[in-house]
Amino acid sequence: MTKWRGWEMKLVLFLLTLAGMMVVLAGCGGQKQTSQVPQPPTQEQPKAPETAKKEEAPATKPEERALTSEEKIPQEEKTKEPGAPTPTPTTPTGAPQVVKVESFPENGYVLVGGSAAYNVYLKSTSALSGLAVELKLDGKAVSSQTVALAAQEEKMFRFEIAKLDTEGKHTVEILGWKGTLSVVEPAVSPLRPGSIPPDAQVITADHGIADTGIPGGKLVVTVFGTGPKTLNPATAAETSSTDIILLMQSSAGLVDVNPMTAELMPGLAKSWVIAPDGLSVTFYLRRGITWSDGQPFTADDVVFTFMDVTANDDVNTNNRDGCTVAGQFVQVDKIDDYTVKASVTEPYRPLIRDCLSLTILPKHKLAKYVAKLNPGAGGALQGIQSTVNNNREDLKKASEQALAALDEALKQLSAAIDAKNAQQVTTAAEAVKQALDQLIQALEPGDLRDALEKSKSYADRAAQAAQAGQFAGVSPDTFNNTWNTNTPPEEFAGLGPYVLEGYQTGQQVLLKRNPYYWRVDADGVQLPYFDELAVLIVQNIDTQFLYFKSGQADMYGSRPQDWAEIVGSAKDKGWRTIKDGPVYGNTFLVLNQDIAKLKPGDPFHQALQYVMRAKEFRQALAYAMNRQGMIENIYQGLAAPQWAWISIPSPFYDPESAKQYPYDPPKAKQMLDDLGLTDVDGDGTRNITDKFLVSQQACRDNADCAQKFGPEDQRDISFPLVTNRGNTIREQMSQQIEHDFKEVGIQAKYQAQDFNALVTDLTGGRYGGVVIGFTGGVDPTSFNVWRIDGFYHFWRYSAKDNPPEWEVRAQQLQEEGAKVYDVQQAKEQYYNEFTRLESENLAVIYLINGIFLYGVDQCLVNSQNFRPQSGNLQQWVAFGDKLWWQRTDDCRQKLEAKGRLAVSTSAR
Amino acid sequence: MLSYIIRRVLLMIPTLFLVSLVSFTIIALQEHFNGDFVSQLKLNPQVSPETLERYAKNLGLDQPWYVRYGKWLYGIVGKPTVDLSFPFVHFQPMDFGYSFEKRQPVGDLIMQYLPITLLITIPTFIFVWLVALPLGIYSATRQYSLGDHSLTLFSFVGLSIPTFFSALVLLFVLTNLGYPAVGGIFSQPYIAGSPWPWHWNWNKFVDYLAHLWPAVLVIGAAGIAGLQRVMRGTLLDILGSQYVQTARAKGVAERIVIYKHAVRNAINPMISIFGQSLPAFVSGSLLAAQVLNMPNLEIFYFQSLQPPDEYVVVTVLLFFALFLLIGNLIADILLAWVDPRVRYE
Repeated sequence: MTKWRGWEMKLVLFLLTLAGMMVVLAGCGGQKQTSQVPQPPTQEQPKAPETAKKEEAPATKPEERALTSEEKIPQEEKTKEPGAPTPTPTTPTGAPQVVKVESFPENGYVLVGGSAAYNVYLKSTSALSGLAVELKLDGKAVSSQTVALAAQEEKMFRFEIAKLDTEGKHTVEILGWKGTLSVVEPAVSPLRPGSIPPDAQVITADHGIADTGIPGGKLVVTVFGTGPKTLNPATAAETSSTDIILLMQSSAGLVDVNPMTAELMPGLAKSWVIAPDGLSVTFYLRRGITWSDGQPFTADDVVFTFMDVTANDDVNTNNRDGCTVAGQFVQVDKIDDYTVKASVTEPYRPLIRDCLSLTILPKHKLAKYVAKLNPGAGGALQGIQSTVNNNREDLKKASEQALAALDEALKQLSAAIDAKNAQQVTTAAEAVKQALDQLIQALEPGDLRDALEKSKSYADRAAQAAQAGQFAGVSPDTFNNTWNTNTPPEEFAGLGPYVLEGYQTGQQVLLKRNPYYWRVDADGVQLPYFDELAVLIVQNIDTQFLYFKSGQADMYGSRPQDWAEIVGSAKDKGWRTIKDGPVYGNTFLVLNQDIAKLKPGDPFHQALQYVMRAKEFRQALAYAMNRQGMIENIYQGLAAPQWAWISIPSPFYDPESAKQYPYDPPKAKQMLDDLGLTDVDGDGTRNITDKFLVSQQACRDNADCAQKFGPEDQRDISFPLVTNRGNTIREQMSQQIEHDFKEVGIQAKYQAQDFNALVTDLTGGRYGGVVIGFTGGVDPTSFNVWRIDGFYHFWRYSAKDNPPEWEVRAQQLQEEGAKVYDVQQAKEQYYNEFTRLESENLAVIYLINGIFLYGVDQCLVNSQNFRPQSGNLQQWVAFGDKLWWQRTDDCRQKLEAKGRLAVSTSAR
Repeated sequence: MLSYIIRRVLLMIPTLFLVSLVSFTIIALQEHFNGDFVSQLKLNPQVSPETLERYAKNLGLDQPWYVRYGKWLYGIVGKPTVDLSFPFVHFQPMDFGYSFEKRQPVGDLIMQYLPITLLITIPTFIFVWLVALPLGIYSATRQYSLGDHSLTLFSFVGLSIPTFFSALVLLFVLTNLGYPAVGGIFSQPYIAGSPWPWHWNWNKFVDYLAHLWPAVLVIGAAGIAGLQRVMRGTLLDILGSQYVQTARAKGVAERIVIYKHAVRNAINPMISIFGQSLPAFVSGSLLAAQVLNMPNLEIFYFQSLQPPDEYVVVTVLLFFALFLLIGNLIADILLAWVDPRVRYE
């Protein structure tokens, strides 16, 4: 009896404790609110939010305006590369016709004192020479070009407006082509220190500032993972580092990518000209813009970035491959302080997007860490030694005695450098120079003599370096270790919207606005709007969502499983939800068409190879896959099927060209039956029948087939299906594929494998089927994959000996397509055919791709423009300089409570 | 005693050497079978195989593992060089190598993660011991009472719920209650600035406390549950022994019997436990800290395992081993101090 009562009481006690704990929790919540720091009053902005909203994004040309208002309709208007082609106006016969005009700036906005340029493509029906073509600004000729054209020749002429002095709208006219130019007065507020150079870029609705805004406040975002690994733009390899770096160092290189359309737009270069042969691009840099430490940005920084860092073998950078065309690194030359030229040995369109958009590095900060540029005394010595050793025989002939003296002097120099004695180094360097002089006198004028003269200057350099205390020079690894997360903020200099304020290991990266940023909005207000941007580092995705839910973070790139909750509480919490098409990247199933290699000499695998190589077999499997099922089961319906290599958000993708394989098991079965792959023994799995093998000319008749490949009933179509362990989405996909294939009588035996082993098998061609993916980009060019001898041509490495016809064509389309700079032209001439070809032949069978999901605080203006086109960038990177806080009463109240309108320096 | 301590300290050196050798061998095995630091870049069509080769060369991964281990060891003992000037062997500061991933000296990185770790472990530690010992004594002296049963129940619950789960539930409940300080050690405005409390102002301290208690509760609950059971068990053992009966028979006051005779003897195993828990002091917990978003040394270590950042892994393991040895030494010294019967020769 007593025992019973005891248990009951314990239970009651336990429940009471629980309830007590809840009360304590709730109580603490209340207490915390009262203990909050008093916020200092926010700076009153001169502009009220209502007046800030200008008339909806005045567009440049009427044609473009129509396009912007229909922005949401995909594909059609994506043809605008910088400077949209405008319909050719009718011109009197005899005069040249304007084929297309590339306008810089492409949105038609410049600051007072800024400049504009037009690349005008002219064509004439008859030969012309000495015709003066004028560019008229508001009816007045300001620039002129003498045009000489052969009949039917198309040629580009560049027109410039050096300086635009008066604010307001202007019209530009060239041979009947009309454009508008809006000149904006810079708006410098005394409350916000900053400098706006006249060449600054005006960011408009086309780029994601639909509403111009009120500066001030702070944005808080989270990033999943462990935070940046390094802050060095050249060596950073993963997004947790590059996202931060792009905010600090500028997401724009010479060219930038428009986050709304994924098209190219001007960046640090205000305009460029692609040479007619496609072998060089000349960039005209913005003048007067400065690094975040106030130092001027010039062509030297550009050359340094490409030639001294990216091309440098000591530097661990992933960027070099993108800058290497036909085995040769792009040559970047300085023409003058504000003009650079990039040259390649064959035309290569992806060069601009993958290489020339790289973050530019400050030479004045980083040159001292590059070993190549800082040889030190030791390096200079090495230079002399290599010259001497390479020409030892010739020098011996010239003067054996002088050579011996030189060797002795070099020995002394080496000892002096090792002892780090500057005085001795200087003396020894003198001795080296004397010995060199003797040799020079003994030699006939020529290359060797010049080389020795150069060695003399090395000896001088060794002495100078020793005087400066640089004995060893800079180690080759120094640059890789430069600008890590422990580097003090003042060591950095960037061109990005923000500068580093501090990094608290594993907790947050705190950024503040760069007062030298070179972009303004259409009102002339310097960007970014925010004074501070805090990136909180969160180790766990569930916790990341909780940060957004509790208002500690302002946006959240949602997982499918969180989406229902975000949509459900959006109204209560004041969230904006953004759902858009699929993101970049592709996940696919690849079937090994060299499957005989999996078990060399095994007759069954040889027979299976004929099956894998049959296009209809792969197509049948594509029809057998229930992609909708995957979308429902794995992504809660928030995914889209993919049909082609080119990612769906890419401007290069053409949905019409991609052959689709909707889920249709009867059709799949029919196709397999038609191939002759029937289940002859009734065990539920189809067999590689003699009929099929005969039709593939693998054997002549039943007896021959049995002799070559073994008995028919033992040839069940069965192969291993592998994906990398730990990737739950791919694991689930593989399980579904195993199930779907079984439905049509194909046995795929699924198992998970460690990533590294999987990659080794895949690139060694020893696998059956693999589910894997690539992170896709905008440009379809991927020689590593589509060249028949490419390193990642893993579906059929043997193709290089005996290539199928379509693969030869696909390679040709890839190679030729990459030479065409105009997106629309490249698409029409090459990539639509490429997509048709590869989606028909199914080298890999594409699966599904997640769609773009974002939850954002409603008060964050311009966040409505978030979209997958901005690529693999976080939206707070792509839009980091374009967002601002709405200051309506509701928003102001909420933001003040969250501390977003005060900057954190006041709270510490 | 002093000679004993010196002997123990000297013995640590071969032990630590063995620890580092074994850890490095295991990492090398992992790299062999599962890929090294550079393998993560495989299957990226933008990166050519030549680039990967160059990476490996620049990181020194083209050399065999024992060469890399030798280099690391050479740096740790201070890169000794011998020449004729006094004292003949010259040492440089200890060098634990560079992190492949973060491109910083490993020693610096450990020091970056240490403050945050201690900010959580020290209060948790104090909380656990302050609560667990009295609770253990309470349940031992009132065996099979209502209180003892509830504490037993609490212990079982506390020990059986994984901390990451209770952390997630607690954070979820707090978020839904509108509690503003969810996750992390500070709210955003207070993160910047020094991690050491003596540089803080009052508001930052309050903010710290608001973030601290959920962590202490979640991480501490499991600790209390275990420690309380041990205390209860040893005390019960001793309470049943004959000298306690004798003391009671003599008519010694119950308070003195328990605190002077029984608890004093029951405390010895607790001291050993204390010594063994010293590594946890510097590492912190992994799963709960991940959910609570508190980047401690254990999380840093965990991140460095895949892809293997070998110098970080081996150095952190060495660091933990060092603390284990020190903890055991401290425990032994404390034991001698607390218990006059224990003597070391």
